[in-house]
Amino acid sequence: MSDLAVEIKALIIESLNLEDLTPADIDTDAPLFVDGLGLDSIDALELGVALQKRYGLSLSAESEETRKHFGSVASLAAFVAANRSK
Amino acid sequence: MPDSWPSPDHPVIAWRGDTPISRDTLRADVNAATHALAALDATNVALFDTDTYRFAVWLLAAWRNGLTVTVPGDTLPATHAALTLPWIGETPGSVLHDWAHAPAGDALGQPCGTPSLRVFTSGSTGAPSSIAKTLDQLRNETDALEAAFGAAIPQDARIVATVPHQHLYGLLFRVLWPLAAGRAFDCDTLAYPESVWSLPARRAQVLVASPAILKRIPTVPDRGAIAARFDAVFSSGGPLPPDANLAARALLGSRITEVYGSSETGGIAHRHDPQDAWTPQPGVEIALDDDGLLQVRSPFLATDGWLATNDRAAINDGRLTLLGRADRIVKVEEKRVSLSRIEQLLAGCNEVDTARTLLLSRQRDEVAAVVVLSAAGCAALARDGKASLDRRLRDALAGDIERVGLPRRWRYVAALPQNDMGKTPESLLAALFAPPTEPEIVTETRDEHGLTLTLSISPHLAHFDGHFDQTPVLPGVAQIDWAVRHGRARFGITGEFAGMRQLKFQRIIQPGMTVTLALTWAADKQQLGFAYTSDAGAHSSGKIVFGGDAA
Repeated sequence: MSDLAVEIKALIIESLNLEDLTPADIDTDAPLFVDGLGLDSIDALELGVALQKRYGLSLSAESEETRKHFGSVASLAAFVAANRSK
Repeated sequence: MPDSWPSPDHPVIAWRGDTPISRDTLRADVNAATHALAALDATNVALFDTDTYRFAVWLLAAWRNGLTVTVPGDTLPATHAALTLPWIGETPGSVLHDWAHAPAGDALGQPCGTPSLRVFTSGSTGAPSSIAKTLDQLRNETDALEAAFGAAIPQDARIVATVPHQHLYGLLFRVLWPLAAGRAFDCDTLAYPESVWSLPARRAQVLVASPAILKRIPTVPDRGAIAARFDAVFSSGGPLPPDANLAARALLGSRITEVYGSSETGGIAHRHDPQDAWTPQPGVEIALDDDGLLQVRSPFLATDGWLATNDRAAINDGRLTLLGRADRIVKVEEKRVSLSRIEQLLAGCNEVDTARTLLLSRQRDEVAAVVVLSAAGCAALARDGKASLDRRLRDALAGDIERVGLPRRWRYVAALPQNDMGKTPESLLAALFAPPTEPEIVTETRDEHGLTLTLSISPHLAHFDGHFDQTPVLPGVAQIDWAVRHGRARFGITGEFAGMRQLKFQRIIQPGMTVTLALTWAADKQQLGFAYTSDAGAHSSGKIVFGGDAA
């Protein structure tokens, strides 16, 4: 598991204030939303803000595009690696 | 109305144990307390006293002075903070503990205002709110109680109670109604279901009880028969399950009269048998609104109009059948979510015995669930862990509840938390979700020099909230507070905090760190030394001095 993936898992837990979870509990390839981790639309907003703050990303307002990146920790890590500015 | 109390044919006002308190004693005490309160020069007071007689004396004296008397349900620090009034009665922080030293004299000035009462709802549906009652409202209510139930209660019956007089039910049934009707009340409160067995075998007795106590009486392990006999047993403040009602009735040897109402509405209706529909209290009109919710109009209300309740009901031949609370709809980030529906669905899960839900609004709006697990649920929790059970229950709701409305926080409890009225107010549920204010203790070692604790500093600690948004830092006061609390607990320090020396803050402590707290106690100097260190080096240190009852 890449360091970035672990870091993103920690960011998810911290920014969404998730209880009783550690990075090890989050499956890198499992869906973050609905199934899998079961995050909701408000979590998506919060996570988007946290990612932008941490990595200096600018998320596209185009929701289809964004949804693809938010599919799993693995896809988020790839997106962050390609687009981070800090 | 208190001006006419006690009536001439009311020889015994109260009983403290086996000692009667006479009419003359009450008159003298109220007179002294009235002078003591007049010297206070206040128009509003908060009254708290666990002794029902002393409470009654203060209440009558305050009303005689024309005061508004606020009756808080507890003496928690938050309640004190919210009620910035002079507190009177035998309670910490009180400005008048007794009336023994009241200024002499018999001439009293004019009452300073119109006497009235403020009580608090128990907050079952949200935060507690205060309700004002005029003395007319209260008199109408005690008149109705006597009209409805008085014929069955002998004049010399003693009123014993399991409920505090600091809430409207206890205040009406064990203080105001007995005073108005000329019956004697007990000063003590029966605190436990077992207490009922210790009541003497006399007749002429009335039990004013909470459902919380009544439903536990049949569960007390075998104690034999209850000696006391009751002319009436009352239950109010919340629902009493029919099975528990019948079981308690068999043991108490008396039917249980349930009174339905609230602090806001006063008594609405009663029934003597759990199979019956409810009969409105004398003077109470009932109707349904367009949504099937019960509304009432009565001389116990502040206004002449109809007041809507939150209970669904049916009315047949003027009698009432209650159909449950109205749906509790909350908005989660603008989406309407039915908490009632979530609770129903959870209750239908194999793992769940009962469930309560509430809305938390902190970083975001979120639904939180407090669950009493079934045996199957307990087994699943032990086998699979909390995160797994959280997810399983959430998934069970996912087909019926919009995703943002699914509970995001779960607490599994052996029993729902209850206050002394036997209710589960939302504040008690919310407290289960409060951010932690204590760090997790990872290891603890003690030697002859003192105590060493390894602390894991969770990012979720309440201390980091707003301190500061960009760079969270553990506040120095929190570090000192933890040192003091652990010092008191482990070294038995009882002296008052008297000062600090050699205080140094060298490095900030940030979320996620693991730090070591070393404590040393010099009993001869009453001095607690503390030092926070970590791999990064020294964070802070100092000495805290205690005084007061130092040897």
